[in-house]
Amino acid sequence: MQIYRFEDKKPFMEKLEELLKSGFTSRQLEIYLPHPDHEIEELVEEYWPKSKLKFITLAGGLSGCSAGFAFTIFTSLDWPLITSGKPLVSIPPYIVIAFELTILFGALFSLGGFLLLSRLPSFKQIFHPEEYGNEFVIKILREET
Amino acid sequence: MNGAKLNWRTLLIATVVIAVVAYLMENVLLAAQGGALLVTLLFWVTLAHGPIAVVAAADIVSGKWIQPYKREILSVYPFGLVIPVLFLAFVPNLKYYIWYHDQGVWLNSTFFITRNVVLLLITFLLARKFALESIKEGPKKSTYAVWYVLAYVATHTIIAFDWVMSMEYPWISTLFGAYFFVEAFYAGIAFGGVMTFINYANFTKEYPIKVFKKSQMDMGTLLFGFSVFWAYQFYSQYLVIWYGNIPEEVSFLARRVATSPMREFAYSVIVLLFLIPFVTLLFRKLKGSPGYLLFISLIIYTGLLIERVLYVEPHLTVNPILAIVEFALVGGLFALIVQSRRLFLKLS
Amino acid sequence: MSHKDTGVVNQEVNAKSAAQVKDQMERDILAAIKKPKPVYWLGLLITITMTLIGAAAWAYQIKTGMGVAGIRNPVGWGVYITDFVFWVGIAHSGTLISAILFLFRARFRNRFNRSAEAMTVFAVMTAGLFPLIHLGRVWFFYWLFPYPTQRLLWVNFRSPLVWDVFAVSTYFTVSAIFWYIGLVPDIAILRRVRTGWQKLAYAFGSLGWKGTFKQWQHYNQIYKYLAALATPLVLSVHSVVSWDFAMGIIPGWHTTIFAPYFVAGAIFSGMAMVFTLVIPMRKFFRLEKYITVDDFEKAAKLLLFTGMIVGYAYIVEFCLAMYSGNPFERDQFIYRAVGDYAFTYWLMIACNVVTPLTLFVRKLRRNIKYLFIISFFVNIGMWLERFNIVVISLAHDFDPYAWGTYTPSIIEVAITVGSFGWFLTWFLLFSKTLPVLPITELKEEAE
Repeated sequence: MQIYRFEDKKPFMEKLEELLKSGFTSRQLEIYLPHPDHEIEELVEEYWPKSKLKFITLAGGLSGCSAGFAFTIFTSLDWPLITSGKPLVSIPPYIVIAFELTILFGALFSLGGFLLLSRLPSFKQIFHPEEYGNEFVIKILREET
Repeated sequence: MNGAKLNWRTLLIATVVIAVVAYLMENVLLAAQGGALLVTLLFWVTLAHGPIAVVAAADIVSGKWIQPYKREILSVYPFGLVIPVLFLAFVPNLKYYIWYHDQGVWLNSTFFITRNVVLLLITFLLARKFALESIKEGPKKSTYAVWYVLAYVATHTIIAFDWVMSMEYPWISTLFGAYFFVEAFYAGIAFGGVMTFINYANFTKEYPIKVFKKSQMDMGTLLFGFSVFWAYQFYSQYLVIWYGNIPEEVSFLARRVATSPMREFAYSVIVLLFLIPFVTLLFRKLKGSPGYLLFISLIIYTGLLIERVLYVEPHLTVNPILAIVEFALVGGLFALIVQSRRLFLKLS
Repeated sequence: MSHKDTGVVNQEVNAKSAAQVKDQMERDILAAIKKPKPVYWLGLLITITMTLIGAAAWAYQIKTGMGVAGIRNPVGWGVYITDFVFWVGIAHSGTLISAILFLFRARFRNRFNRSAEAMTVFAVMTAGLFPLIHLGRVWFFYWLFPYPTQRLLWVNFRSPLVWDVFAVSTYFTVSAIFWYIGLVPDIAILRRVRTGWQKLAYAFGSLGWKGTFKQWQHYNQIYKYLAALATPLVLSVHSVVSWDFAMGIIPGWHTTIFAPYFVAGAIFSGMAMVFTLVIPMRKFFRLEKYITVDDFEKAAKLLLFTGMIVGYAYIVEFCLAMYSGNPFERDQFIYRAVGDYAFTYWLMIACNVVTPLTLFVRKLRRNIKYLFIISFFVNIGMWLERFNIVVISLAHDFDPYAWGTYTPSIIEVAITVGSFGWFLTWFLLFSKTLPVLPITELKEEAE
């Protein structure tokens, strides 16, 4: 296992590009950043796949929206009671509930998806943290697949 | 670009000619009620002021994304002069308004005409001042931008309340003014979408492709955002009226959604102004395509036009042939103005 | 590599390596959360006392009955509902600053977002109490939720009050998630810096965040999506609150502009509260280097902008009431201006419309003390706005026989004071346990 540590971003990016060009996959390299960085992200995403989170968020939003309409319509038909002269199934007010649930499920699914994809919580890291401070670090886990 | 060019004098002559033609068609030739002219006015006034407002807003928050588009968008400002002249041609048709035969202090034909013409002229003059300052990146561009936005908001509020709401007297909706100026802003962004396609070759020649693409993406995102905001405003107004169910209020909706074909048109407005832009602009690929931006902008304009017909039709009959002729005449003038930007923006 | 916004931070780049600059940044920001000074304990003591006063008043109300509050017929909604709307409004600027300014890529956002998000969470926690305080039998509050009951009844989804339950609880959940996700990498820094039991506590809080590229990749995504979800959510929440009023047909309530106008007003009052909290915090924690006058100026412009929207709504509402042929609507607005509550009405106009206009002057916009003072005016003005809407319309509706006035009782005042105590207690606790500035985002900016 080899470790490269950098104080500054520029030499780090040069080294990273070199490694990526020589075909290292996301399983072979582990990269640590002290903060998010769009330049680095752009560089790496030319070689590695992008995050799949958007599908999870979308699934959450869609299920929330349909759950909102389904639930409001079901409950008004389950015990039919007309109030304030409105039709039993009144879509205009149910849009509010469906909208709120779209957002709620979207956010909860995103949270779950985020934890799942980024392998959190990680108990190994909680009890025996591996820290690199403000350095940019590249760790080569395996030379060959 | 080649083709015919306008200067101030030819612009004025053309405007007066169109206004006279519109007047004669509506009042002498056919004895129509001016509905077609009002629809034309309501549609084109969004494009006279909205695009400038987009640049003004971007200048106020010092948004850099507007830069590539600035010249093209600002080129519409002389069109602001066409609107008051055309409005004067509509004035004889005020007699079909419900309040005309029982005038008060506010709904009073003299005051009505004066305030509208004055506001439209002020907006035009401020647009001119702002456009000339902004195009040369002058130090006072933000100040003029603020003044312009204030005039823009006032004008479109008055347009909404006077031209449309007063037809429905005593119906009131406090959101109506804001609804109008947001829609004009939406139309202004869509103008950026149109320009992306028409001027694509020039844009990519003048700016590095990466820089321009970023601006284009922002334009697409803004269109997406405003489709949501439009839906929000529409819903806010609709829900309150629907829920309150007070006869004098709900009749405004009932006139427009109770019978076919008005109902189908009303639904199509939601599809065109919200559903299609919202769903399709979620995809980055589509946002990145200039052809698609043109398409979606035209979709939005169609939606706006139908909505305007819906406002007017229950009160003033819209003669479809007159509407097409007037719409095309004014649209042609608009295109000529955009083409003549070198003169109007004092570019060398 | 660098850009001019970061000011002071930038000049040091030449001298030190980037990692050292970032270390310095961490030390500066984390210095704020080291051992509290006596003045902090004094502040905490005051806010906790206020909370206890409020709690005691509520306990008394529960024991004695709703009669101890000043609400009577015809004014059935009083200070409690005013407080509810006020606190929901305060919550709004947090999401605005975090989500909307994030989407617009406005850089000054990074100076305010952490405290503003914290403020959002605490303000919603405060706001959520008021519907319960307003309930006659608070122990049945769970009837608000749709759950299968023995009586086979469901809640009425056509009622705006049920929309409120959904809107406010969604808002609380989403803003808490948003806040926490932003905090995770910063808590991981605290885990590295601290020792002993604190280290372990922060380690749990950080969920074992490692900072690998893949984690950052997903982090950036979730942050963007949460911002995109939260933005329409802000619009919806205060709109739903406004519809509690606008769905009724009471003159002064039933008006279409209410939704956007409430949203603008909420952001307006929330920005003011951000000023009220961040200006002293910046001074106490010596964060002048990180939150500059330029940042405040930009935030002040936002305050001015939303204030003008509120002014626009006042004018339109008043003018259209005069324009309409509806005598009830017209009378309601005349009553607001010259009736029993004329004082609160004109005070509201002075605070919300007139004073913010002074921010057109650049010098005043850049004067931190002036901004601090104006933030109080706006806070008061916005509270009064809600008071006016809630109370005046009820006091003076259709039938002169049913007219009446309302004065808050001492219990209502005590609970209001308690709500400020509760909110400020949480904020003080936050400011000493978690980073008040988003460290990783500032690092990215310095890069």
